[in-house]
Amino acid sequence: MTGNILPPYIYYFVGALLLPVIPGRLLKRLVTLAVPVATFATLLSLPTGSYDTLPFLTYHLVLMRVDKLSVVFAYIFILMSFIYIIYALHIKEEGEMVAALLYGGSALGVTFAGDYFTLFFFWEIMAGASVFLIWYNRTEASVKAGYRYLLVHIAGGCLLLAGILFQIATKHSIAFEPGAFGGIASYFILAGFMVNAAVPPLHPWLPDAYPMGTVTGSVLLSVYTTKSAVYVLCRGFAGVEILIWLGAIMAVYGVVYAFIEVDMRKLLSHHIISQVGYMVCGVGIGTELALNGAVSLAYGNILYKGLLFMVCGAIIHVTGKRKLTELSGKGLYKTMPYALTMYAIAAFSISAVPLFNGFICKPMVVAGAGEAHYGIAELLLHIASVGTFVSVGLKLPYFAWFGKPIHPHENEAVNVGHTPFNMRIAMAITAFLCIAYGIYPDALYRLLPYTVNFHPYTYGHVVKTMGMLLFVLLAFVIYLPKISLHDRINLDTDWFYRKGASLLYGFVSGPMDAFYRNMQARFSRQVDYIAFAFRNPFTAPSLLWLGVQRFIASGFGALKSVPDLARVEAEIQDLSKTPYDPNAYKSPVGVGVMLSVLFLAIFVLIHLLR
Amino acid sequence: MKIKKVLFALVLIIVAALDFYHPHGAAHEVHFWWQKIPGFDAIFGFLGCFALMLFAKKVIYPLFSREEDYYDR
Repeated sequence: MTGNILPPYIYYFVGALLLPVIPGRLLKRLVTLAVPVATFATLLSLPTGSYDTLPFLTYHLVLMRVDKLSVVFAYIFILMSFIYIIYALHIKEEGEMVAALLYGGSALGVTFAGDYFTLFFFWEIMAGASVFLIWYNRTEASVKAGYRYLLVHIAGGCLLLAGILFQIATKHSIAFEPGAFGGIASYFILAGFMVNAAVPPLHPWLPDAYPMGTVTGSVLLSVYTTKSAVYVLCRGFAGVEILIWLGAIMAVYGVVYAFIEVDMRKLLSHHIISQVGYMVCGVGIGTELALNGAVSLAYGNILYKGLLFMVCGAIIHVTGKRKLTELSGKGLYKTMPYALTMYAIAAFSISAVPLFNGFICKPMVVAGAGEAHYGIAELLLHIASVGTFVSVGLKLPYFAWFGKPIHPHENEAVNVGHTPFNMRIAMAITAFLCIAYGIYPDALYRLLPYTVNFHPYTYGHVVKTMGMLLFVLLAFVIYLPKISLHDRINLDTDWFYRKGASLLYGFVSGPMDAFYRNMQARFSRQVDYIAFAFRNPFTAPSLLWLGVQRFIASGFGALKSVPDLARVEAEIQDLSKTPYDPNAYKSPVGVGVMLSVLFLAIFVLIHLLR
Repeated sequence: MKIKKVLFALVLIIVAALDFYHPHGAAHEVHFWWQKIPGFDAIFGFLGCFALMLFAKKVIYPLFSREEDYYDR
């Protein structure tokens, strides 16, 4: 069975290639919808193991590594691309769908890659395809954000490639396997993975770029890049302790930034960092419980975070507003109750309310931290849960659907169109899944890489969770009158390259340019003088020497024992007046002839005398 | 409005009280001393929420918040 079946994700690439030439919108839509279905159907019939190997140089590329870890990620990636396609059925921008298929296909390629070359290949396609989901928004801001996104991911790809090359140099292997952590190769590879997982301080591309994507594209962006990074971390770096602390810190970091953000999708983007923090922390702990937690949270998160992005996308699609400051007090609860319901389901899920799917996965990571006796990490994850509920579960919906007008003078009602039917369907499917997995956790637990010995619905667990959530709600209600929203942005570590870039530009166009011009002027003066001197080759050596004297005289005139500048100038003037006369120093022809005859005679003499 | 407040308070009290009661045989794993405190999660949620909101508003916001056109200038 080796090497003779096509990897199932090939459908995505074939679909992306064919889409532009398929006639008719209906057929296009059907073909696009068929892509994830066909991939899923093929995947179901595949045996576990590594196959589809290709010889490459002296190595073997492994295009398919099918085991429980890769399959669970593949399932949710395929499922989400199916939901995305439904959500985006109304869009007329065909290129976005092509980019989305390439993005999905390459994320699956990363998931199944059994070696670093294949991984790197799809890793780069992922970056290149996803940036179009940002650029198709066609605003100046999104074009700029897209460029920054691309640059960061290319830099991350370079880190990964450097690590891969180091690994080849030291281990002579491109196999993508969990290895002992340590050594320069693993540091570089980990750094490359951490860029995509948005681990601080390598994270700012995420809240910078995701809110700039198209309404539909942002849904997909929230799924693939970070979660495929979580997958590769699970595969290669389980149990690396530094990830525990980075993960726990980023979980809190994300919610704090989410709390002061007013752009809905930017708020959610900060919150992705927080959620991925839980997963990274789980990977770092590396026990079976924690890894199961990280994988199940990735699975659950893709559903509810996708749904959150879908609902906020629907609001933007319908009202054209993206900021809470513009939406607060516009009475959206009356005009968009359907979106509110969907949002509530997603918000309950992400806040880990019992009966929603966050409850069956997030506590698994927290319990993993407890089981492995990382008390501080456990408390940090707890506080991040509090922040999650406040910022995503309470603040965002309160100001988006209810709230009081922030700018009372702008009293015009927001232009409420209608949510496209396909968007509603996509949201409903996702919301259904969020509840279904919450009620029937075994459907997800069966797919996890290790046997699950975790029971979310225990008395103590439910009571403690509800106690925490309700008292957070109480605190929020008390604090609510003091919350004020402002149309401002918040600096992040992207400050270094965004402001740094203009500093670099200023340095290059200012001092560097002045230096260059100065040098050029000086050198061209010297060249001019040399040309001037050589108008008469016979006086040239003297003129050059006078030039040196003039240089010294003009530079060090104040010192004693240097040539007198006026005298040198006069001599130069004098000497340069001597015209070039080709005949002036020419010897008579006879001398040359005599010399040659003489040498010939000597030569003949030597020859004969030998 | 008053009824809602009373109901909310009632729910809070009931949920907080439930944490003091442990039904027989309900396994609850304890790894740290704070997990033994009844009502710890409720207190943690309440105080943590204030702490987070104040930290965001009083520390992070004044330090890092800028005008919207900050990067375009």
